[in-house]
Amino acid sequence: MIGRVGVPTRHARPVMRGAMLLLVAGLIGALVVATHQAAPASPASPAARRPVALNADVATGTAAYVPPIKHVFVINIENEDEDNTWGDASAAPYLATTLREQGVLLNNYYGTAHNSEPNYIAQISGQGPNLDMQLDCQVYKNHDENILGPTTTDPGGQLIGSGGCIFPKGIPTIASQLDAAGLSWRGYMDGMAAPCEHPVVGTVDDTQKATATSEYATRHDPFMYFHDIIDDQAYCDRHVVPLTDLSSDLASVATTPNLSYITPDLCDDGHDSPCADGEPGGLASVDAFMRAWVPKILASPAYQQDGMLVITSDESDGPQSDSSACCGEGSSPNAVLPGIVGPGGGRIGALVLSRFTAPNTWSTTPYNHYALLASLEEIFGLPKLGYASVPNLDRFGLDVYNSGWDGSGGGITDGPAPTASSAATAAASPAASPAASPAASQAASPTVAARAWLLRHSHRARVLVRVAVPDVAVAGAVLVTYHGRQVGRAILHHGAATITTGRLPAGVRRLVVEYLGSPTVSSGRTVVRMR
Amino acid sequence: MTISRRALIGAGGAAGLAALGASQRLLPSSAFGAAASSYPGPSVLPDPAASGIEHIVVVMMENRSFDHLLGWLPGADGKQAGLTFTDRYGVRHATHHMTAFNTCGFNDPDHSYEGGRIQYDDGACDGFLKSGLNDEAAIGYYLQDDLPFLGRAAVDWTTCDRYFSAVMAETYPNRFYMHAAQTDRLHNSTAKSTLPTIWDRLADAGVKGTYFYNDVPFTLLWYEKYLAITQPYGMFLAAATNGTLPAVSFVDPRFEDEASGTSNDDHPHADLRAGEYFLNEVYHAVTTGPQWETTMLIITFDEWGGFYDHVPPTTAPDVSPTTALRGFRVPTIVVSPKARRGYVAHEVYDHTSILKLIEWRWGLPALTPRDAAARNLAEVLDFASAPTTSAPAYQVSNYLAPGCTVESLGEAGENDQGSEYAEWPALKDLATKLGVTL
Repeated sequence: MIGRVGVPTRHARPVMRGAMLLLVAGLIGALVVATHQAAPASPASPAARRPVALNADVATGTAAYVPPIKHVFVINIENEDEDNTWGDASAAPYLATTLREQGVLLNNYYGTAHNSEPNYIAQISGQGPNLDMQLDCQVYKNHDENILGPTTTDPGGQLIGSGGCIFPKGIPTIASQLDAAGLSWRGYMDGMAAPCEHPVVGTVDDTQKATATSEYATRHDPFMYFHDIIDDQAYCDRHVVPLTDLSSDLASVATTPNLSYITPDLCDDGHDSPCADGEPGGLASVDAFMRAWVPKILASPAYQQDGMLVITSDESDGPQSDSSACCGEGSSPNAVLPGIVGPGGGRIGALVLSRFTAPNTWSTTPYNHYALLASLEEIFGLPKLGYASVPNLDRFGLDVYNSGWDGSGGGITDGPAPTASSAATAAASPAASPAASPAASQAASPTVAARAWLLRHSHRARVLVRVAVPDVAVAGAVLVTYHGRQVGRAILHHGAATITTGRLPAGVRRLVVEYLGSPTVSSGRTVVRMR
Repeated sequence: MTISRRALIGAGGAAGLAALGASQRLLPSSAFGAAASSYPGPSVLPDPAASGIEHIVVVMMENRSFDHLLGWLPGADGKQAGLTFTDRYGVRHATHHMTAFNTCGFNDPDHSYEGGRIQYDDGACDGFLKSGLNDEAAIGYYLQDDLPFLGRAAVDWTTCDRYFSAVMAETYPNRFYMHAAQTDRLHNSTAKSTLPTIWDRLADAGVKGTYFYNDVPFTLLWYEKYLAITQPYGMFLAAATNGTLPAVSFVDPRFEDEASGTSNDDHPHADLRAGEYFLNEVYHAVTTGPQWETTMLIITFDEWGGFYDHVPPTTAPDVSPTTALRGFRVPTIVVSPKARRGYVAHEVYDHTSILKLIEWRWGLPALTPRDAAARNLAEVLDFASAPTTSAPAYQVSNYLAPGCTVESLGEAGENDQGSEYAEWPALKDLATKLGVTL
């Protein structure tokens, strides 16, 4: 039994989600009107003038601003300040220029701790550091038990325990969440000799320093610090594997996990310079690693269909270099200063590539590893864990998913003067132009037409789709989504498909029908109102 | 492009309605230009020595966009009520009238190099709620009656509605453009600058120029180089009153302490009433001083501060394509006996148009391709008519802002990314390090 409070129980969650979706679906207009009226009407009462949070506070499930991403790839490099990695003078030009120009750079992305290990832990579990973690778990040992029991957590889900590194059974990670949701994950570890490689529990970690023949570092492989994962050898062997397995896993959508968590070895991640094997290391080796692996990821069917690649660093160059934090990070139960000399792991930056991001753009909104976890959990419709569940923590929104995929088009709209009654209409009416994805602007633009009927007895919908381009036989896949949540999918035959969706929440009236595009036809979408 | 004031009011729409309401409350003083008529366009420039301009005073405030402060101005291309912006979570928010003179309780809108580009969005100007931690304050606006100085001066004198901040970036880069027609950094930092400036050009020509500061001199970024021409603000008031103004004066407001809302530079969280009082003090000193007849006072803002503006900035010839894109529009008002009263000028200007003016007046070479190619701000003046020395006096109460309460500071607190709160103290520390007594 886990003493967690603060995450809705399994029982309550579907109700919550339904309610949230309804709220998003139906009441956005009303919310906007409420804030709009509140602002000019009330003179300077401090409460009324708090920042209007841009957080539509969706605790679980996917929301309207989350695109239908189904495959996420995360790559962490080591110990680089934002400007070192991404600046004009970066020693990794392929990463900092070639790849950067294809996606959105999150220039206010922060590490959450020093040194390395707790940053990786943050990304997959939302757990904060303790002193042993901050010292990179020199001894691979269990978390200290405390008098309240081995898995006592505070109301925010943080394990209480001042020392040790391996989390006891029952501390959830995004891995266990994905399992529970029927989704797949794998950790791909560069330099790993055999699946699930880690020291014997209770012994000194001999992977702290690279050798000429082994540059795998357990401390950069966060899955090795959860008994839920390492105690089941077969499960662990299946899920945490040498990086070399990635090539074959990328071959088809079916073999690509929903979450691929990729850690380069101590040379390829830039940690060492020069490397134990004689390579140059530093950002030069990072660049070589990216050149070798990222094109494979970007060319994979899963990425092409609905993928997102996140490349970031674990922490800044070090505690003395930058221990700043963002996103309200402060002391955790087991560490007063997560960054040893400051509150965080410093500003490191992150690059996000996807067909849902626009090339060569920025997001300046502050994010950190906890925000990344929260964002991944929103993508996969999972509850938020640990510090990812902090109220008002910003998650990736339309600042990151900025390709225009949501069809809202330009966000500036001339409306009528905001009299009390007309403001509602102006604020609530969505811009109606369905936008084709600019990613495939070279290809022909299709007309996407759809009709949908609600099958009331089953709470499903039947959707008839036709995607047409004059003189072109249109092939490819069509997705039906509801607020970014996929509810149906089909392959077009002669440009047409009939889709029966999964069960829909009560009150759904509109569905988004999205054609994913092909090499010759760009993607397109339409919004269909159910009959 | 020129738009007459009458035509714009007649066009109706949100801007027209707001403007009409405003002008009914406060028409331009009848002695100064009287009825609104269309701006005749840029003047043909005379021989600069015979221009009647002997003193140029430039006051540069902080961080407000044109639509945000002056979008109500009759005859100007402003938009206030009736716009909506989509935020990071897909929620649409309407522009709204600000309810307080400060922005305590709101985040400092992002106005970084990168954030500006998110807001710009390739010219759509729709990203004001998608950058940084921008919140409702970024799409708020003030009306004429909120502004005891600008609300009147903008109507009475010549206001520019196509004056852009020089570069789509934050304070220091724009202030470098003001002094040097280029910037050596995209973000605020106290690294030593070696850029040649207008002060060098003036010194080379034997023309007197002085930089006046309130609390932290921007010229310190060149370290000791310009200490000799850097003087406290009190010296400016004395010079204006005594008739000893140099040929060129730059006057900066009090930059500290923006975070707590007690500065008078209009930078959030500042209380606008403090800035309005400061501007009126400068205006009063200049317009009542013995050299008023030959003076041109320019009031402008360094950059848009992350506040919405609907006019996409354009690029200009520049030392680098990285900095060629101008920032969003800022309010700019030209006050002079030779200024047209009650007009809105519609040509494209930026900070280097002021450098161009100075260079034209005293025969100085341009600093960079930017100021070389800039339109000369002198062209908004009326050289054909006799100068009119009368100037309305404005009643603006002295206001010492008490500052924000701790509870009302923005959610980001100390880690407020994109803000410049830390920069002025850093510059002050530099002064101490250099042994400069402020």
